Amino acid sequence: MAKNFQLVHKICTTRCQSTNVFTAVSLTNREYYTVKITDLDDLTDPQVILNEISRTRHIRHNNILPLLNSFVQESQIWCIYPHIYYGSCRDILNAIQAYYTANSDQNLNTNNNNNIDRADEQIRLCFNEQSIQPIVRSILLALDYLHSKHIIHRCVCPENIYINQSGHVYLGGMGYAISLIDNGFLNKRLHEYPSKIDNYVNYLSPEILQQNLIGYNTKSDIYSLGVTICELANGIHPFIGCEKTQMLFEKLVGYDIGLWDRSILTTESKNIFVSVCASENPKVIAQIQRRCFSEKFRNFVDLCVVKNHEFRANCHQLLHHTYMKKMKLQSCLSTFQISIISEGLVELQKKIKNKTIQNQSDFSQIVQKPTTPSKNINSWNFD
Amino acid sequence: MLKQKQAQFYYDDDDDEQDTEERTPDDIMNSDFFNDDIYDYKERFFNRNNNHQEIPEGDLAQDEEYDLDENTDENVNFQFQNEEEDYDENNDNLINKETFFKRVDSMEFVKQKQPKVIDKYLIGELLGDGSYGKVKECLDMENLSRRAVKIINLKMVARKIPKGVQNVRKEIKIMKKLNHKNLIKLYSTFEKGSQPPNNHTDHPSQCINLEKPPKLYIFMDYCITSLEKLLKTAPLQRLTNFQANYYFKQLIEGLEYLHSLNIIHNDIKPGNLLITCDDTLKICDFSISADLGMFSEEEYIKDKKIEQEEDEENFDGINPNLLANSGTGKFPIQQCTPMFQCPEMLDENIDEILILKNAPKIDVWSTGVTLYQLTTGNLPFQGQTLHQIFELIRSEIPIEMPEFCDKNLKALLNGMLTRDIMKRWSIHEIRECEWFKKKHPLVKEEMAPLPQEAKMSEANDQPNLSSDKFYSAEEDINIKQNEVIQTHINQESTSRVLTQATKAKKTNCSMM
Repeated sequence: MAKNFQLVHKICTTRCQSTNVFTAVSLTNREYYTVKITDLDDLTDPQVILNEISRTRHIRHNNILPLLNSFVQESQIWCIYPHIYYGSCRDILNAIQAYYTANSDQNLNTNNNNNIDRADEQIRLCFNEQSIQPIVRSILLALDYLHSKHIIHRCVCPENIYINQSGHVYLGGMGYAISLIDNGFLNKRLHEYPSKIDNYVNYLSPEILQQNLIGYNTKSDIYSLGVTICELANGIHPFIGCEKTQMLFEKLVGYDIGLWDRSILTTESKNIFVSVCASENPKVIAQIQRRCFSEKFRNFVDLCVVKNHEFRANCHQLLHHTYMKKMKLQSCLSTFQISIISEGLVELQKKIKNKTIQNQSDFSQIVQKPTTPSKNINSWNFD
Repeated sequence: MLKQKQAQFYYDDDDDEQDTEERTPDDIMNSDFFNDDIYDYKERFFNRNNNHQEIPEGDLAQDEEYDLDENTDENVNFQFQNEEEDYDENNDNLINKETFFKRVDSMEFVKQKQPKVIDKYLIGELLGDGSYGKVKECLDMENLSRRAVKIINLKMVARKIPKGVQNVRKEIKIMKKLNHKNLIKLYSTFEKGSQPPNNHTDHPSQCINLEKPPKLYIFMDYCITSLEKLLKTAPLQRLTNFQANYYFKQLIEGLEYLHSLNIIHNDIKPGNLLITCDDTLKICDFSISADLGMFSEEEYIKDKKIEQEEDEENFDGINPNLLANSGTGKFPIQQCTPMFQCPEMLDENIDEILILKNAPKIDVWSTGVTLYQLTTGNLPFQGQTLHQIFELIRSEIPIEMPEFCDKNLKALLNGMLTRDIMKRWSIHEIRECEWFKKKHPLVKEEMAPLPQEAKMSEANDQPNLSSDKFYSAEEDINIKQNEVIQTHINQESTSRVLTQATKAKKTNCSMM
């Protein structure tokens, strides 16, 4: 079966260096796919990948990344997923970050004020309140489905939120998911700690981290979602630069995470924010100063990141929050938003490459490629 | 005086903290710790009037113990810090207006105690004490999972317990083989102050010679309580049929797995049966268990005399060398806790081959005693002296069963506590028994509750309580960074947390 796929290029290496992700072309129907290849020889514990395959096969939802096929090829497990044009939200964030650092270097040299403004504008355009809304909505729908099946995802983070070419948002990464149903009994709470979750420990909810008698339930996904929204909206993770132990302390008793915008800088709460954000620098502050989120959005995030899970809202409640109702219902990013993101990304990438103002001819070249979104959006949009 | 006492309190903690030097109260008073604070306060006080423009950077950095990155952002950082201090001062002034001295917070003394980090684990509160050493709570700093660590002072063990060090090594060897949800799991070991763990032999003399006491750290699953403690907190001093059955089933599962590996636990008792957060029973303490497997690398293999080769096929899986060694004084099964000792081990002319053949039955006996204790609250064999207990075990007197035991339970107990090793029930027979298979009624009032205090303190979101014992050590490690946060948590957030906590209390009450 592996013969049917021609690997095009490697996207990334994940999880203990044994999983490689490739873009591939199917030789049978000439379409793009994402292929995840896990080498069993290097794998210390196959549990995560096996869990991912078995869980994904048992569920089907519009907003959950489907597993099209999986098979064993020699010592490797191949998993075939649909082609994800924009990659995960992490990739987009990284692109923004890379652009930002590249731009700041330039800025140091030329000291051009105009440039900063444009950069900030660009960043605001990428993950602003309006474009986060459909992402959150899609993820909530997926989570609502999972929770109705008594499955806890446990690893909601930007890495696992994928956006494809038409702006459709998928939730993936079911490797750490766990079911509340065990041995035919429906448990109210779970206590098992995902100790292999190493890199995503920042997204775990306080009740999972506490590992006490109380345990955790489906609401811990909501907290992870809240942290994810914060990261998307703020551009950086709320606990960036923290030691893991300090992060634990903060999550249990300390600082409440939330959205960072203009209002946080004017009140006394600034102190908390500044002291926690270890990687403090004036540019971030300046950026935050330009930002302004609506009251509804702030309230929505606050509901997600309540420390005590008893008072945290559940999926169903959040889906009917005013922030969700504010705009017309849409399960995917609109053409406008996706074009902003794509253009933003294209521009960002180009700027990182050239560090020059965009050239008209360059842009047209990109447009002419068959996979470029700006051309294809109209054909994909059936609204 | 009070301060000094406080300071001392944090020092005389336990012998583990050898790294921190003993400091007399005078030392503390003379140390730059206090003087700096005063200086700092003066600085701040005066600078406040000058709109806090010039705070000497060096001093501030020292006082606050900030590791500031030497980059261009420093200036901005300082601006914000100044404002924070300003805010803090205002609060301080409100509390004690005239005093020049800063209110001494207990946190500052806590800070002195260095958090202890072994390998990648942060060591926390003491959980329990045993003959082999302490058990402490700890936190994996990489994935933040909660673990328990058994700290064994090898020097002391070698002195106090015969074959102590060998037993510890054997325990680790056995635990490494195990992988079952009802057996405690070994995550890693760490040895400090003796030879590298690779070429460790069973010669305690080599360990003793070193200056620092050699210590062995065994990192295991974290458990909240043991059946022994649970029994004490139970309303009737015994478990209900439902609960006893629930734990007994898990115990049998674990034992069956253990016996399938030809390992005899040999020390089953409520104190060695731990319970995790999710109410799973874990069998622990393999220090005197025996590995009778074909490939066990015990030292008595060396002087081999294989005589009865034709008998081998009868003892499926048992190391023939062990059988050959019988009568040479190298019997692999050791004496266990007196009350749980089985009669055949007390026999003077002990038939070693018979016992080795039926070794799993040793565990069945002690499991029977355990079940008796769980369901009745008493031990079946009690006496003033060891001699009396042993006499009682060896005698032929039938075991008394209290009235409230039902018929099936009596049958099971009688079967497990049969003195003849051949007639004693096997694990298979136990599994077939009525009491084991039956679904018992759930009586909530008589259930032994899991430790309540942990539940309460962690359920409420109060900032001081929920950071409880376990996390106190982390506070220390982060105290440098947290200092500012700690003092500057603004009124709003604390009040919000408090209201939440009160809400939580209310809901708890209503639930009850």
